[in-house]
Amino acid sequence: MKEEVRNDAVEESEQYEVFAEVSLFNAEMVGSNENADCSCFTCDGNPCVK
Amino acid sequence: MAAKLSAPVDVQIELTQACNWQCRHCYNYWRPHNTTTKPSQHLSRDKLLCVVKELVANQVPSITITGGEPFSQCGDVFALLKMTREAGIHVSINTNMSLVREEDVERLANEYNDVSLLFSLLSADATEHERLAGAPTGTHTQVIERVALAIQRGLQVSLNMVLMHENLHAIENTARLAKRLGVRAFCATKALPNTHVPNSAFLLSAEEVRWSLIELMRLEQLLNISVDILGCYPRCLFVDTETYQRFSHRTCVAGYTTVTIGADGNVRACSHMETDYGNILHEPLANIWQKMVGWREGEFIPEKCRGCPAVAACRGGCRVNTLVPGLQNMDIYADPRQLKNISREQLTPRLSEKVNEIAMKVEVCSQARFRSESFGALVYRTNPLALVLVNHSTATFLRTAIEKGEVFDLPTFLERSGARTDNERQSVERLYQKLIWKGFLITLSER
Repeated sequence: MKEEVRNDAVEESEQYEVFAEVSLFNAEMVGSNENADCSCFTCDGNPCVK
Repeated sequence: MAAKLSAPVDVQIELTQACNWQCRHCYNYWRPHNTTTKPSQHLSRDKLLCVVKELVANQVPSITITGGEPFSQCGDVFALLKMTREAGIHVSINTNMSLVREEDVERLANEYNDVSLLFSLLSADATEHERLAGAPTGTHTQVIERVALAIQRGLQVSLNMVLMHENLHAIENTARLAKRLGVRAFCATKALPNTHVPNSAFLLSAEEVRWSLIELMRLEQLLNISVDILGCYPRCLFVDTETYQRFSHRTCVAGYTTVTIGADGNVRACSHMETDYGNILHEPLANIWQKMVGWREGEFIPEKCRGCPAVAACRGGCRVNTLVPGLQNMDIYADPRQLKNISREQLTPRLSEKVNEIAMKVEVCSQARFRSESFGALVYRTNPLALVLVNHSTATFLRTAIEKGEVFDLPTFLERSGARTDNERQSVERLYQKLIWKGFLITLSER
């Protein structure tokens, strides 16, 4: 039952949720509300993936 | 909204503790105690299978095979490649290339040509490189030959030059060598302290680090070569320089998007640090990940940094750089005084001016995969590797579009996005462009 309630809540929130990318660190950028991440999800690894 | 991921995005696997080099800057915590080439620990194939099962269970899209020198266990490198290929996991390998044989290059090119290689070179000058790497005479030539062959056979190879006092002068010549070889990217990354190495005199000063970033940008222009740094630098180190916009993209992601699995199976937040949070051979990765929650909640961000306007993206720099005594948890290169008279706008990276052509009709790439997250989903593909984090409504739209084989365009995407204001529409348009750029939305001709 708890799971059903959670899903209902998610569906309800989706109805009012505008499509958006989610920021890894919630960092902002100049000129928009876009995030500052550039997908550098690694350290000591290969350079920036797409 | 900031993402708190349910599992890592990239896992570094230290296949072995053995290495045939003895680099002055080596960050492997076990190296000062064991400088022989005999492996004291390595992950056997049974253990690797156990690890890969955990990665699959947690939908980890990408791994980095590292060590020690992974090719000192060459057979196990290929065993792991086979396992990850079957599991649909992207692989890159950190190697010094000195133990990679011609037949290994051929096998990589023929069977695993989507694997990318990152190799270490400390100088274009053979004598200097071999001295700093503690490598036998002739190693440098051998490495260059193998790299050239790998690139000729179509493998993606990048070079990382670890910067120290002694080799800083060699950055231009090494970049020129990288250009001649045709590497994908030339990376120049500052060396980090190792608490087990009493002499840290090789570390760059703050001024030298700042100079290295300026030099990298100059070489990028001069040589028309892709450059990067592989570590993270505190924003206040270089906020007042022209390099800020170019190199402020990297942030400490230890325990946030990445973990390291040691050759003993112990899982650590960062390859450079010794503290472990559990052993993947005896405990589910999900449990271990939960024990690292402090890394994601900013537990290790220095107190002095918490009021800084750049802290969300900076996170206080590199945790390894705090391992020098007397720093009060501050990154050795952090200099908050530089933030005086700096505006919030100067601290905030600007969006790329690059605008992709918006294709008329697209569909969602069938290779796109979705890992459910509390905020929505991690959307990823592994060949080539691409990742994006999106909210619930975007993930639902993309999933449904795949299921239905839906073809759509930007006006349809905008309409379905729920955007009402100009700002919302701009953000959605940028998301659409990003999904195209990353290969999640493809034109019909790209099928």
